[in-house]
Amino acid sequence: MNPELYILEVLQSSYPRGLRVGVLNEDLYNAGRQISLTEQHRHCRNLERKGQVTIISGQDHTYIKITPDGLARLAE
Amino acid sequence: MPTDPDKKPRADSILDGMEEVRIMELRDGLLGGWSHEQCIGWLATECGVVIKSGSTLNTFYKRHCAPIIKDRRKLAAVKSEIYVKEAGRTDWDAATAELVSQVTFEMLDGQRTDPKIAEKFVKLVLKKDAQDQSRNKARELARTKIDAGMEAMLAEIKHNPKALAIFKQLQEVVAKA
Repeated sequence: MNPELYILEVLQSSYPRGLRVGVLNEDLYNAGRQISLTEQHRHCRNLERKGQVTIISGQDHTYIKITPDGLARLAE
Repeated sequence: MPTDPDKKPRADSILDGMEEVRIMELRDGLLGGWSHEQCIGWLATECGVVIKSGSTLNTFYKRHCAPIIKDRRKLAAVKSEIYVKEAGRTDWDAATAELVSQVTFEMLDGQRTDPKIAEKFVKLVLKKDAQDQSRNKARELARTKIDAGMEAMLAEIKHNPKALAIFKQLQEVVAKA
């Protein structure tokens, strides 16, 4: 399966809230879909460009939220 | 198709073949944050089960832990939205409301919250309490002033039945306000 879909799958359960970068990575690891933080970041950027996730970067935190478009992609 | 008794069982079925109580213990351990190394050690010493690959644990995790996490997370996301909505704050900007919703979600989901973010969250909640208290005080003060005014008016009109009837109507309106 495409890593982007793994990411969307993990984020799906937290909708409409998001997951912090580290939590997302840990969940991917636990699900046997280990990817590096760099790879994860790259995929998340791609997903953001497609409008399927939103990356929220605060002063102290960065988290990723799945968007309705992301949910729609999973439902396909 | 007949099964070959000499065939080595699938690695993940080794874990699923354990006693129910052991399965629960392993599930709770994984949900509680045990590392794969800790799980492998625990399985060997407590259950006499030797596994070598992390993929066995991953399969177990997907089957026994992931559904629980998924449900817990969905519930936490819904609750956090409801709590923030119920708080009915109109003085929070979008970023603040987002932060409060997110931290509430993380806490309800049992995630470790960054101390810096937790500090901001606590300050916001304490500020909300202080604002609520001062709002209540202002409301009490206004009520006291209204009561004092009504009493003074009553003293002035107590011998005028017509005025007293109007006063009663006024009292009812004030009580409903």
